[in-house]
Amino acid sequence: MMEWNKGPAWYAAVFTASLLTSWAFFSAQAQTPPTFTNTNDDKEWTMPAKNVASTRYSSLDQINSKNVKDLKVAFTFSTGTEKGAEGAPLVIGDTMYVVTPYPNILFALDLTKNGALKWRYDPKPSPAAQGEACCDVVNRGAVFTDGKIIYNTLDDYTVAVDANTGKEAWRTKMGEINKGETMTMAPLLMKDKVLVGDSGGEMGVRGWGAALDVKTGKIVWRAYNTGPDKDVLIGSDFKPFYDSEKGKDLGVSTWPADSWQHGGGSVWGWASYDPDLNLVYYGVSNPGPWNSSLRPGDNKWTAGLWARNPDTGQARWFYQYSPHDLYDYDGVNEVILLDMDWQGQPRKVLVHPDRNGYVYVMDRTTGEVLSANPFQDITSSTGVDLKTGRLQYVAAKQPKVGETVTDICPAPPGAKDWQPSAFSNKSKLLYIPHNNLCFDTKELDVGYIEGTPYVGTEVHMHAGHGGNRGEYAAWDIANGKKVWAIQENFPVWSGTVVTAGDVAFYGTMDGWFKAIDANSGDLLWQFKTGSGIIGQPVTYLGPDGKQYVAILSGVGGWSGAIVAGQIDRRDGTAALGFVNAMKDLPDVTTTGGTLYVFAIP
Amino acid sequence: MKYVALLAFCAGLILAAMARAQESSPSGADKYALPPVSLVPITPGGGTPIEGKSKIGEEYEKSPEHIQAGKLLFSAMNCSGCHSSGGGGMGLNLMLPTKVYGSSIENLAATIAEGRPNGMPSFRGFIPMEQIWELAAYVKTLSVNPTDK
Repeated sequence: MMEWNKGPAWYAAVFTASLLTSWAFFSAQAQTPPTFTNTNDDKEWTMPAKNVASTRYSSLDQINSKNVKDLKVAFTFSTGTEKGAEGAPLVIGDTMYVVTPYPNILFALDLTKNGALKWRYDPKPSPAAQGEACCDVVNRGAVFTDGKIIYNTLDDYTVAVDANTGKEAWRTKMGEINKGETMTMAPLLMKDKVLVGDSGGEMGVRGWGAALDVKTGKIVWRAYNTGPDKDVLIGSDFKPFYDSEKGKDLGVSTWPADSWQHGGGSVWGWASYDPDLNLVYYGVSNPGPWNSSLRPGDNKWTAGLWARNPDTGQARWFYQYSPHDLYDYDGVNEVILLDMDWQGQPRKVLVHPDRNGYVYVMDRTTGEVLSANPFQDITSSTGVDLKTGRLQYVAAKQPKVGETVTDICPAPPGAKDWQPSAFSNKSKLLYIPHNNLCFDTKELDVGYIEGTPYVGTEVHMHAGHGGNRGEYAAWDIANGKKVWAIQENFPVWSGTVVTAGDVAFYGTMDGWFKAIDANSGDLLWQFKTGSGIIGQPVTYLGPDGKQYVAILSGVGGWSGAIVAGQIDRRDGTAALGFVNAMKDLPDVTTTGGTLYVFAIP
Repeated sequence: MKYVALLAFCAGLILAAMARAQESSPSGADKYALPPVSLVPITPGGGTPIEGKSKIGEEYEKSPEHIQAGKLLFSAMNCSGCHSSGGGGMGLNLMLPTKVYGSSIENLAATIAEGRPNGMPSFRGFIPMEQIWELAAYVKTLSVNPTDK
């Protein structure tokens, strides 16, 4: 346990938590998930984020804070891969589906037979795609709809596979590896369409998001994140909240001549969908190159968040978390949709912990920022101006060409990277697995060569204040502060899930799968898996009516590239400077993808 | 230093065009041609794998000038984008003495020119063969004299 804030508020929180049996009572008027998440399907887990509001909350409570200490392995399955396993297993009926990192094999496991292999589907991605993926060759999972499992391959296909037979239903080519495009995100289901996007913010791609018809795989729309309004799908519906997002063709005019054509702005993270407002929300990556001196201007529409009509792709609003991003602060992290009272008014909000170090609470109808509070020590900015919405950068920490600027916090992977948070309907808290990293950087000249990295910085990352490189924090959304936090030695690069049993699960990069008390943060149980954990835990009811918890073990990803890519620890600049902060990871873990499923015997 | 790198980059683009033209006229290109070279130490039937030594390789790997030129090209041609300062990243670790596709300067030049299946692009035609040999000479030093970066 980390004594995050030993001021009066901290003591008050601890005192209150000890008096009351549950945090929920303390915050009875607090935020709730939107009504469209109210379903009776908690037996299954059909999309990585559990629901389109991305709460990652399960109402299952057979496994709870009292009995979780008795959790045992029910079965395991080797994925046969040695790269970072970031995916979420899915459970539909009596079958579990697992997508591996490259080569992106889809396995179907029979839950009536302890996970026996039913079939496998091999999309046969081009091996060359491995050379175009910035940060290991991960895949963040699939989605189930219309009898199909739909996911993306590293070599830029969206594929749909019949969930019963394992036969390919359709495949649609979405991008070009020769241009540095790959695909790693899990598709988001929006009624009869899925949203997908490209990776390649480090490769000078021209990023986009697109919607495909789930029946046919036909591309319904594609919206670029740079260039003229017609390509960005900005039209008469576009009503951004802040003035800095208003004007014609900002995707051209906020860049030096023509550099928007390889300005990055990819879509590789998380997305949410509000069927009531009929809006899809998805974030946009960093602009390219990282060397910010080469791209004066706000660099629209990168490092921000879109709200779009999912049927047409037409933009409703945009908010730029990090205008003219200086530090690789992609805006792609999860957006959790909630309803809450804000200063006496009911609001439909979204909650987003950004790479730049702030948890944003925004009105998801209008794009107004209601609050932005830091969840890591930040030196790169002083806050967000709620009048203009603009991040307030610190001039002294601005990177320079040929000169090293030190101790910039957060580091490029941000206070939090892709690893998704969870929101508990019971405790009303947001559970944030995240990083505590800072860095030193020097900008270097770089020319654009298609299909190769377009970065232009020399980075050395290191642990942030306190020396711990990771943290698992419980966050009070209304008051914008931590309730408690657990320090971890390595970045907490796994996702998390929280349940009605008042238990939350996450994994560590040295291989521990942990269950903690969702109210107090106390460690209740842990199990050492075969490799480091960077996956997304899920929970479901098996055919026997018992509750199970599943996680993929298999170290890698950007943070684990030193192990998965056998990178040399003598080169601190390697893996975009992440190796400098992870030199001891090869001493504590090895590669190897394995599914672990747990239950109480 | 940065201007040298930039100049090398611009020069590289011009030379790339020349290199592409060169492909069609073999005269003059022979000096830099890749020798036949095996990737493995085993061969069936008791034979000896082709070691594939070359005059140019021998000359360049001993030449500080060519190694220095290779170092500039390593940045200018964006090898550093994937291989960082040699330790790897998107690309393989070049500081290891044993490389997947061979460690001799001839193996390295062949890898740069032809590309390799798991993500190494083919630079033949984009970088002139002479510069590929300079790059190979520099890459060889990364494992022979590895230094902390």
